Amino acid sequence: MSVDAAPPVPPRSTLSVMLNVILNNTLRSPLRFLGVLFLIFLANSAIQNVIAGEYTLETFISQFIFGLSQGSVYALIALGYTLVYGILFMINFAHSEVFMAGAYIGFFAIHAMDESGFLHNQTALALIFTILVGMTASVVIALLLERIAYRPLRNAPRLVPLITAIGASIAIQQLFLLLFGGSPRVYPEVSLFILPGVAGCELVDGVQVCPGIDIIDGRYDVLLFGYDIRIRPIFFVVLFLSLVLMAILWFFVKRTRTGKAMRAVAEDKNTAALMGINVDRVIVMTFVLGAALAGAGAVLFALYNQQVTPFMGFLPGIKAFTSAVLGGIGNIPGAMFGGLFLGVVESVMPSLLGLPGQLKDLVAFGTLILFMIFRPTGIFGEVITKKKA
Amino acid sequence: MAIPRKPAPGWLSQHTLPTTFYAAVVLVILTLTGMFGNFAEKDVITGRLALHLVALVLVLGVPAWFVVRPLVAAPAAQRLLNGALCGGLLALVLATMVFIEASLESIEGLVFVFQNYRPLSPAGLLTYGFSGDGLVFPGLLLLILTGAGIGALLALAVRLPGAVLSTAVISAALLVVFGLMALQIRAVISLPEALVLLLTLSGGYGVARWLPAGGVWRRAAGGAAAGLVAGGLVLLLVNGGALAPDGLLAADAAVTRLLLLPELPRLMVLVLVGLAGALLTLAAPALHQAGWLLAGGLVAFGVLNASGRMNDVTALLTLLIFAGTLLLPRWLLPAAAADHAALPPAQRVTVNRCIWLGGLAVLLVAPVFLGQYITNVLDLVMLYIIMGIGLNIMVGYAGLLDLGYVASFAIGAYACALLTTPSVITLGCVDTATVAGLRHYEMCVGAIAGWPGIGILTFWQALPLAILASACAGMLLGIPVLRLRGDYFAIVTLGFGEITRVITRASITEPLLGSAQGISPIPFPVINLSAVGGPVINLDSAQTVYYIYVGGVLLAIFVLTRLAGSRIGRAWRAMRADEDAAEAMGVNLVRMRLLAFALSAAFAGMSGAFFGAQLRGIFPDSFTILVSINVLSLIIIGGLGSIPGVIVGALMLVGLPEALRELQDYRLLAFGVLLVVAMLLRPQGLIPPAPRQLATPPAGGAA
Repeated sequence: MSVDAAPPVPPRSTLSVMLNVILNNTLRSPLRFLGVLFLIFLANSAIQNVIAGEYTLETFISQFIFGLSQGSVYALIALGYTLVYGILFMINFAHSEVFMAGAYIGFFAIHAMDESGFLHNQTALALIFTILVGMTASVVIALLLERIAYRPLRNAPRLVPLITAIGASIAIQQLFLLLFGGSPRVYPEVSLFILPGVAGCELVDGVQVCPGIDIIDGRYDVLLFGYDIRIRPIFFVVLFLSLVLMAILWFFVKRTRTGKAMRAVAEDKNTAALMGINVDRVIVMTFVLGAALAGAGAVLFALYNQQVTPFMGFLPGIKAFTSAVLGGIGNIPGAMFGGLFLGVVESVMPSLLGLPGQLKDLVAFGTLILFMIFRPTGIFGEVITKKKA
Repeated sequence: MAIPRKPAPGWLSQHTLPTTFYAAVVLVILTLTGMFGNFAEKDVITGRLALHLVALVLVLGVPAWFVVRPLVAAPAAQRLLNGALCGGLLALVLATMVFIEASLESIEGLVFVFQNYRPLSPAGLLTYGFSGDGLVFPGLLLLILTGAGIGALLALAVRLPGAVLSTAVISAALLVVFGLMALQIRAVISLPEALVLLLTLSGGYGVARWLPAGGVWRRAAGGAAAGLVAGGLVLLLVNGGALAPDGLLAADAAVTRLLLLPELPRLMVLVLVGLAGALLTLAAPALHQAGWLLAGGLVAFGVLNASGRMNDVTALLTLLIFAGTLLLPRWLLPAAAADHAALPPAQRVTVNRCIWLGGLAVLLVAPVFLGQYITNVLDLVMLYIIMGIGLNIMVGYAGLLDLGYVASFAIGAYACALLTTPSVITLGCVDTATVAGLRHYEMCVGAIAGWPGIGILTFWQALPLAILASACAGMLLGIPVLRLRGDYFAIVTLGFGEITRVITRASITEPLLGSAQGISPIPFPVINLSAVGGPVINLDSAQTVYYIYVGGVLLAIFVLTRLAGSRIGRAWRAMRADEDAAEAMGVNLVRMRLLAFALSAAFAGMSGAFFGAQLRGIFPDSFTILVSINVLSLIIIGGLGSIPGVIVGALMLVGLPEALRELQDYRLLAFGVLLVVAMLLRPQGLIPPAPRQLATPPAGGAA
């Protein structure tokens, strides 16, 4: 095809382009047509809701912020799914238990520090230490999983490791239940003030004191767009820390030797092995990375959700897997975006559509199904499907 | 090739210490879950053996076994050293834990972290009752010696023939299971009945086996005669009062069903049993063995029944019975196999059919004997068999990994429940007064005013509708995922399962689906034969619903076996192997996929309807993802695409955990571990389907 031979493209208005896209999408299959009808119905009910004044910007902002922090935890877990899938093409069903283990062992660490008073003297240090303990616990569980349940089955039919993963998931859950009991553990309440003397000022007995902003347990009323909105700084902290961790991961995968090896193994295991890459080591590394992110995510999740139970991993786990699929499984930016997207959608949508909050899981999976109708490979999923096909 | 860097030390096997280390880690974890303390309350043999001692023997013995098994060719001294070392070290770890616990001021801190932990040292659970200051040490020493002893014993036992070992292990395991379940199986069968049945069966067997030059008919006549004789003997005993509650062979009247039958039916049953025994001599070896195991089990049930909880004597008897029934067929089988092979093919088929019919008869009379609890477990197993066969269509045949099978199950259950109870669907807009006390009428007020309702259906009218609803819903759910492949398909179906959970629990569907309260009471199925002068049979207990399940299982097996070889079955298998190639060969992928969705959902819907009718109520908690996972696991454990595999898988993954309720939470832990271990040892499943013969070999060929 030569560039010169291309006929001049007639200028098209944006409207006609949009129409074209819509028609293309709706008319290609009856299913898509139905999907579009459904989307229009949803949009209509959302608009009705806003017009009727049932839904205000105030609600939107606070839900959006909550959704972002929830979504960043989903993203951290989703990265673990997507990394493993990218290399082994298997669903690591036990990843939700890796997450749970991080939160649980993190609890014992933070509880011990709470008892000894360290948590209140050196709060920042203690929190970092808790996150590190959570990450370590998750990594240990993931390493055991890989060694016992997955490695011996690397060449087995694809359903077999799935069943061992399910089995391992049940076993870990029940083991934690038997070891640590079924009653929920509650993370201690903790306050960490930043910017003392500058922010968080109030009048106490007529004197202006500025203890700073409590970024863990604080709740502040902030004036935003003319609305008085109650904000928990912890949401921003979770979002910020998650983004930092994801940035580190991104750097690791793109810039380091091991990261390069990981990408090579994901591309083609056999060729990578011929090039002198230790495939087993790379796979172990992948599990370690995914588990470390999940462990950190677990402690962050527990810091604002507070309760920890042996069954806490399940729902965030499948939500995270859903976000990994939404973003295009096997794709790292896809998992990050998918997590944030799902978090925001499931926190904003129910009340926008006038549904009770109970139905947020319905919204999350409904989103997944709608996405699968229009983009069966996920948002960023093109690359991997081409390779696999 | 790995070259050992240093020569293995002479006496210590290189596996011993690593194995012991891993086992010690597991042992510490299990101890911290409070296993020994919790199990101490459960008696296997009253006053003699509690479950914690069984657990102790297992945690010390299993690793020791793995240490000594590779050394089977080594000299006895080396085996003894390694086995005793492993067992002794493990016991030492346990003893250290007990010692630490005994020397703690208080175990509050320990119990804060490990909530289920129960103290061991005060009661001297593992230390032969030694407890208290200074007295712990002899106990700890004994514990270590026990460990070393178990290891040494296994080191010696490893040379025994396989038959003896497996018999010993299986009999011991069965003994423990029977001991734990003694209360549930107490009402199964009385000892005199068991003995009569066993004598009749083996009488028929013996007469037929050693009848000179016995053809099929002669053997059958011999067996029937043996049954007649047995019947006569029972008649004499009953008339003589020996079987009366205070007679010689005193039987508990509450569980004596056979002996309380009128004389003629009783005689007929015994003749049939004798006949079965005679035909057993000609049956294929597998059936043959099954027959003997069944007989042994019956007698063991009878022995247990005679004494209530298991005591020393019944334990010994039960052990002997199991060992006997496991060992006996080893002598009898070669002869049976020879008899079987000597038959002309036509007769062989006839005999096998007779035996299968006999098996069916046993299946049909089983609930009469097995009692409420075991029948309930069997019902559950059959529920999962039906679902497993349905899911096999999706996963095993069409190659579509469905993680949301529970959605179809729930749709069937709710559809049947809504059609058979007063709801807006059945009664429509009824005046509040006429349905006072019923919840479901409010819905009518706003949404569909004027809807007259279709009237309350019976279970039999609702069943086909529920199946149809489920199949249609399965097809509808299938439409959005038609084009998805592999794991995308899996996660979307998982989403369907979760959506089901959310919808059944949500408050906006409460007027119809009842939210957390579910729908209850659902009327039980009734077989009304009064129109033809028959009785009205209420299927209102586990024992009667059982027959619905048997029918469902037989139907499912029939449909699947017919489908498997048909054009549709072959199209599915082609699709599973390679979608593109199948499409190129003219398989209509869309139609075939939708058909698979619909059929597999129909089976799930059927079991859902049964489930609701059995429980007489349905609640959202019954429809969790665990159902999907259970069904998927059992078909993969059994072997994808194989029907015997589904049955074995269901017995293992559903029946066993239900039977082992005494182990409480540990059974789910064991379930998870079992899934992993089974897949590691047999990735293709326990009974993989036989490779299909693609074409019949030309006659007379392959010479």
